[in-house]
Amino acid sequence: MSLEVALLGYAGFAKLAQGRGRHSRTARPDRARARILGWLLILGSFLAALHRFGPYLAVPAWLALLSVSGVILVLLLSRWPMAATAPWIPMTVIALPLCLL
Amino acid sequence: MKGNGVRQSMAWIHGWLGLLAGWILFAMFVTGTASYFRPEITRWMQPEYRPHAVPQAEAARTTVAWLQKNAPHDEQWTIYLPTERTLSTRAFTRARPNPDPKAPRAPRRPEVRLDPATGAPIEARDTRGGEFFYRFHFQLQLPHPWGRWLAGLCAMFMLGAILSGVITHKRIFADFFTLRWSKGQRSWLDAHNVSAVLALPYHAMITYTGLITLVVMYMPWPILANYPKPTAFAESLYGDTAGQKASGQPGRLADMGRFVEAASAEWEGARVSRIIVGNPDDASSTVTLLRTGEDRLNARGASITYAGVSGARLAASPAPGPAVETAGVMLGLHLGWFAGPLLRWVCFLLGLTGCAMVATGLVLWTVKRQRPGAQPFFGMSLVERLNIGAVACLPAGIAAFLLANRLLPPMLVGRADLEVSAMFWAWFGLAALSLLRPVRRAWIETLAISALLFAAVPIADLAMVGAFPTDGLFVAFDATMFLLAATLGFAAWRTAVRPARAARPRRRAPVTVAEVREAVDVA
Repeated sequence: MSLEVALLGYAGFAKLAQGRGRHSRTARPDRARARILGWLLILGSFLAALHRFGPYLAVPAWLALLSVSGVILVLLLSRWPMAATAPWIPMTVIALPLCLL
Repeated sequence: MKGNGVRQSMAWIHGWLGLLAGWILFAMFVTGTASYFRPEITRWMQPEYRPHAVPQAEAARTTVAWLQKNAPHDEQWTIYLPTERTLSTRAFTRARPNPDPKAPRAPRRPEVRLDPATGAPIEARDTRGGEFFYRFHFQLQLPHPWGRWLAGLCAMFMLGAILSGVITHKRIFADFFTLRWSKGQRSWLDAHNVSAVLALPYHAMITYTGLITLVVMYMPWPILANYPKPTAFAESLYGDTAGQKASGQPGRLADMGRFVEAASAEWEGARVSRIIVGNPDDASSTVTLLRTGEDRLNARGASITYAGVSGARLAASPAPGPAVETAGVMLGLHLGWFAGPLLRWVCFLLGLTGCAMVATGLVLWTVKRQRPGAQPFFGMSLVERLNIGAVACLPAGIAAFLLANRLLPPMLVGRADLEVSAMFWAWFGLAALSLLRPVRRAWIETLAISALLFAAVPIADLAMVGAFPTDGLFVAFDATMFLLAATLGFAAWRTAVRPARAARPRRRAPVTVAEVREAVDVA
């Protein structure tokens, strides 16, 4: 399975969405931290893809999985702005052991 | 068009490129998305066919035995060996051209599907299956070569629309996650932006690689200028020996299973996807085996050619140079054969995102030009009607194609063509009927009919096949049909509730600077 790439991508996008500042009353330094964490998670999803698919296939597979996780996040975000970003912690936690499978 | 800035001119060209090619692009996106599951759709459409898996070498033997009995004197056989996804062997044969130049050309023989275990034509309902969507995707059911030209022209429009769209959209990062419902034109713009931007790498890739797939057809001149014959080009690039002449002496093919085993061993266990036998009854027959592209990005696999009678290894495709490798990888990216089950579903969802992008773009064109209370001008009505015909009625056609597969008697003569007719009658018939209704009612009703037809597909499957499906493929297929029905039903419902919401008087906070800026972007 290569679900961990999509999970990390979703978590990363969720943090970026939190760091965006709209619809949230988060303080500015918190937002900056969320953005940095978001980019780190997206980097993590790329590394997971590299590990899973090898250098040859990693880029297309990563972009595809990342795009779909982004589409799903935005659809959820448009209806449940708070709940959509919440599961980033369990997603990251589930993704890490999946990387090793 | 306001102002003369680059962005304004790009917005203008984006609107027109997208509009003119939009309806055909929507059909191409829909059928192309379905084509990711080409073998699975074919399997669903022949529910009575349950073959036993056999080794590839065995499948090659049984197929050659059948061809030797039924098409012994043909010029060429092309055999697609079964895979994990395609369970039958597919064979195409090409008759020898009549030596008399005045004689009419022999018609191309249709594809034969054989049971790999027995080598007999499979006993199942006749259908085009997933091949229909695949062919329609780039031939548009038009005579050759017009369909391919039109598809290529639309793909070029699409590429232009993608580039101009990216330049037009100045808030790509600010609006990355923005999707607001029930806000009229702004919602359509949000939906169009989100479906385009989030899957932008996919859209750009699929459009560009799609064009490159047929680039030799769209731009034949470099080959004509550098090679005496187009076949010489194929020969030097892929080691293609299709042009070999027959000697006129009869000969008998050696054991086909041995060729498959030898080639597979040379490729370190990789499978054979296709066998091309040239002049099968001649002493100088050739057997070319092509390597599968399932396990790598490059879809154009290596090939080995053997002498058919003696079994000697004649030639192998040269190690691909950078250009051939690039072309093969682009083809592979477009076809998506490398994708395993999860990645294939991901590609399918991205394809649906592309459908949504085209559909929302088409609707946005009309929403943007609507003036409250004003009589729609002719172009506006035309675009609105064509939008309904493409976006809401094509799904009904596809559902009708699948329904016809289950409802037509399995042994009816010519049922494969009837299934295709059912699709076009349902599609264009519904579009014609929708002209009788006012625009909003037409949207709601055609979307609802499409939803009902999709919901009827799994019901017809259960009713006609008789047993609850136990095969995972059938369960997944029927579940997908229900999900598509739910999506279309949701669209119909949203269209129906929209006026009630818009009519509700809203108390608004004073307009902020940010909103003014957005309103300018929208315009």
